[in-house]
Amino acid sequence: MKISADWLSDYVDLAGVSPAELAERLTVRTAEVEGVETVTRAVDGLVVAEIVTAAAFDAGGRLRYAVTVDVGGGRRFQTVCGAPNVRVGMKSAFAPAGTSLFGGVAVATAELYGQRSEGVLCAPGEIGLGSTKDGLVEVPGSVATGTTLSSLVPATDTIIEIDNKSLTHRPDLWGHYGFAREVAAILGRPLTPWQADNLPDDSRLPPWPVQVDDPIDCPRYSALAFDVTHDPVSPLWMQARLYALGHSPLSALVDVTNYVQFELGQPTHAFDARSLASVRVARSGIARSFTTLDGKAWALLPDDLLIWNGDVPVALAGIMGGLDSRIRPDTRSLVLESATFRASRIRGTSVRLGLRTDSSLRFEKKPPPLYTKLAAGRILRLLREGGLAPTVRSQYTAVGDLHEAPRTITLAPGWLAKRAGADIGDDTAAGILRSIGFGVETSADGGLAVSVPAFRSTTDISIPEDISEEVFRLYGYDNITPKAALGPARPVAANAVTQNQHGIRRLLSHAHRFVEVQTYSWHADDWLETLRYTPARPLLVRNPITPTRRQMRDTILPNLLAAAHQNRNVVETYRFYELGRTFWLDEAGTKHEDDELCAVIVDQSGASPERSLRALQSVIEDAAAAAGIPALRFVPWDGGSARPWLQVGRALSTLRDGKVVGHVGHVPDELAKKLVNGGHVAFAVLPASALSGALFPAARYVTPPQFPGSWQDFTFVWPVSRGYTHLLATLDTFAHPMVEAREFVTVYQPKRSPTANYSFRFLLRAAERTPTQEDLDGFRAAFLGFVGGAGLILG
Amino acid sequence: MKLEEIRTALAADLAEATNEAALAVVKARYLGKDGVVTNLRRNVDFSAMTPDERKGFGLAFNELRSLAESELDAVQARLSAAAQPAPAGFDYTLPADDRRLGSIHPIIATQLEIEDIFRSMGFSVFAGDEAVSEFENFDALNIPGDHPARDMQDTFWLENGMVLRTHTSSMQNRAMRQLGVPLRAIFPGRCFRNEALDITHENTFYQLEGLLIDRDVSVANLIAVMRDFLAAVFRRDIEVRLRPGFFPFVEPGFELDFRTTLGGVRRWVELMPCGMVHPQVLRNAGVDPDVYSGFAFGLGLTRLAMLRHGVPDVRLFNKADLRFCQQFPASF
Repeated sequence: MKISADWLSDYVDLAGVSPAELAERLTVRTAEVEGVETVTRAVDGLVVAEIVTAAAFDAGGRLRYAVTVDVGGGRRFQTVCGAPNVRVGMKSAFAPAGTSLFGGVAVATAELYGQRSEGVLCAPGEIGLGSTKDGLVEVPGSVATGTTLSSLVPATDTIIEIDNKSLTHRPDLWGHYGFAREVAAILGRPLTPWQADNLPDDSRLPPWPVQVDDPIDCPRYSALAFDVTHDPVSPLWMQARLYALGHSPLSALVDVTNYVQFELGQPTHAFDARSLASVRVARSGIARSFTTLDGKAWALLPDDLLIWNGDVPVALAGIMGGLDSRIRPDTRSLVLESATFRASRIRGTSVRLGLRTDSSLRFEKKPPPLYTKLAAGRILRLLREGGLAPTVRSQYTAVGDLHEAPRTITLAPGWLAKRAGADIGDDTAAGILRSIGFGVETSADGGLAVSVPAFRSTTDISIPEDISEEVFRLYGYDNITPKAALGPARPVAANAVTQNQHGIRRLLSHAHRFVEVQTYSWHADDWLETLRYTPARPLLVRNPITPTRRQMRDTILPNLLAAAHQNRNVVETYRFYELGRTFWLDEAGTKHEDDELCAVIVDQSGASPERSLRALQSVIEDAAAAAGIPALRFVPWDGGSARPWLQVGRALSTLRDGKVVGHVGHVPDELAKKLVNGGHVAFAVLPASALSGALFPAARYVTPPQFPGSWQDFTFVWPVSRGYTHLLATLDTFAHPMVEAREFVTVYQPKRSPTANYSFRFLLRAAERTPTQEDLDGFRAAFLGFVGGAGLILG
Repeated sequence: MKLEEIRTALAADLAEATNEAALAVVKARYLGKDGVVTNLRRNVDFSAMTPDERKGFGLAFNELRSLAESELDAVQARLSAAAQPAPAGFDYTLPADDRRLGSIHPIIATQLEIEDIFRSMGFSVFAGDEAVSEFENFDALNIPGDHPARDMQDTFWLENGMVLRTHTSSMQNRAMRQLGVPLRAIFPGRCFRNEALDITHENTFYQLEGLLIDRDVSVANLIAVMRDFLAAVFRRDIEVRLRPGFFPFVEPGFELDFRTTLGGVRRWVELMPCGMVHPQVLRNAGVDPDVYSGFAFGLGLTRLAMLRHGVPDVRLFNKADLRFCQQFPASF
């Protein structure tokens, strides 16, 4: 929102305060200033001139006027003008030779089309009062000829741009007067009282018929009918201010409602009384089309709020008036609406239609009902001062409460100082509060009884903490000395889940050289279709970014397979992982979420797929070892779940405590061909919790044996199709007191052989002595007996 | 020559013998057939000595000779060690194996650092659900039912009535209930907002919420904790300021700026929203606001990661593009 310093100075003296300083102080005390801009106007040397003659002539095919202007004191000038609105008797701005126009163009005496020109009659764009250059500035007829322009409009102004987000909770700050109050408090200077005319309550006048059908959506509606004698242009200073805020001035009747909106923050609307016999506030009731005063038609829904004249809608409440009831050049009889509408209703309609107006923006901030009265009185006064001589034709008629009675909030003695952690005395606080319009008395217990002014009553002040903000910000946060927060020196609760996950990350990234990536938390349906994967019970988003992103991911792997595909031309071999959240519903429809670890190795170099598989197993085993979890096991996946990346013979199930917790394997060749440029794609997927154990596992110390043991090697010829897992299971059935450890050494598979040689070694130890030949022979006999019985073949 | 002079001369000659050839010359000069030491004995007239003199000379001579031998040996050993050994059979100067380390995602790396700092300041770290109830995300935080944040264009609503959390503040209520007060904790994690993507807007991003609740916590405490935290992040003293800001779950609410030099100009940069926890938020979590007070703050981890690493486009974080992710070496 833009604030004019010139406008502010109507209400508070800004002498001696630079724009930069004002911006800085507003930022730290009230609301964030986003920018400060200086506006200049070329008014020096210009005077108000009356056009006394205007003779049209043909200037090479274009219509021009030889004009004589009177600048008072009997002085007249000749000039040439092509403006369409030039007419005898009109007053405008004249720049005599020797002055400069906006942008620096020097005005000189010249001969134009054979006519003498001793100066320029100015368009708004030539002074800096508007953008247009093809019509003359109009000065109200009431201004004396010869008046210097610089006495009507200041040559410079400062426009302060406030960040709207920092005003969402301050409906009192959506106009200049509220800011003037803040500035007065910040500078410690007086605030000029609000200047408004009394509203007519004469019982001899008829009330204006107002009916509010929906008091929730319209808590306050007030109306006033009046006539004016004419509708001239607005005073030059008002035109200048509106233009500086980015609005083109039109006529006094239209401008005045805008002006008061920017001055107070209360939007109002003026209807042409010829199209309005009464006012009713009600919802649309049905879907309908409605045309606003800018000529655009809008598709309304039954809940949109309208202002009605009987059965005819005349305005889109709080957003924009209707085309048919708008002020026209010949409007002399008006009905002024000054109302309060429910913020969410206005926001809902305005956001849906994409019709965001200065009015809707303000109603969304819940302006105080009191403003409806202040605005109406101000409009009457400005029209009167502008010479329009408004004649009221109705009482000021209102439905709904003003909520004027101040509410009182009491603060315990010293509460503010304690809360601030600074020595803010209650007297100091009382002074601050009074400076922004609060009433302060001493409460029964010696604290403060603070009464909240009506203009702060709607949203932002209701509890002592709200009062504390008012006091602290104006006292100055920079005046509060930072103080370390003391607390008992005791250990904080450790979060094993988070710490453990960080450990897993470090293991993968540091020891195993994986790149951590992140992907979105939802599946992409089109990609799932490529993979032929259908989540069983996905958690669904009601309003996804696109309809194909409505399923929250129940596993990260599809996203990582997409990443495998996207990165296939970046490098030949790459390993990456994501540790992130997955979501699903159970049979009862209850939502579950859990963190999953998903790691992928892509190798397009032609290397053996076995290498990637073993690398992924190592990652999982290392993580388990670091977390102190007893060894995880991998067994062949036996089918049975609809996950297209799993294929019997190409996947292992990962077991913890005998339970399947995840999978390791290669995506089927057919899928791998779609994903990468040849080679293989290996993956490991399991919940991060499957790798969680004690944060600092404390393994018990075991005294190393005093006597050496003996390693004995055995090689078994075993069918590869049955695999290591089954061989191991067979060996597990052998028990002997001398066996302290058994290690897998290597496997050798001769070419085209269905069997391979699996080598193991056994560490044998005898109690209290070095194993003797006798001990070893005894073991050997027992083991060979087992081998024979189990049908194992020694190689 | 006297024995002492020989000893001094030998030391000087050895000091100048920088290679084995020079050493051989020195050795010949002293211990050779015609060497200084050898000749010393040869040229002595033992017959002119008393038995005691003979004995004394013999001892001194032997001492000198063994000293000369041991010093020559020592130099010999040093020079041999300096000589080239047999070739190793490989190029010693080749790079290390597997020289490319993996990487931790830059947002997570930022989170790790921030967590460490807050742990050192006595804060615990907790994760929380990403799909949460409307109550946790809004009502518990005093966000009114008609607040724009609840609109479909800002929040992802789930079919089961829950929402994808729009901020990590959604953890406040649960944390106070489950952990109790007094409380010092931070909650880092993923958040979601239904907005159009551009270089500064993502629908998926990370925040870190912090909460400190105790008796008599004041604005002065908040400023100190935030200042000290930022000093640790930027590894220098930091000037901070508070200015008014509005969030329904704090009162008063602040925007915290820190002062830095950008483009050669000293200026304030907005960094963290924060504020004193609203009494209704405490009450919603079963905490008595007449006894306890506290402050909350929010930190945009994604934004901080962008600042930290000079990432120009926020959308890079979620693309899983290795050319992006692997640029950030893993940190301890």
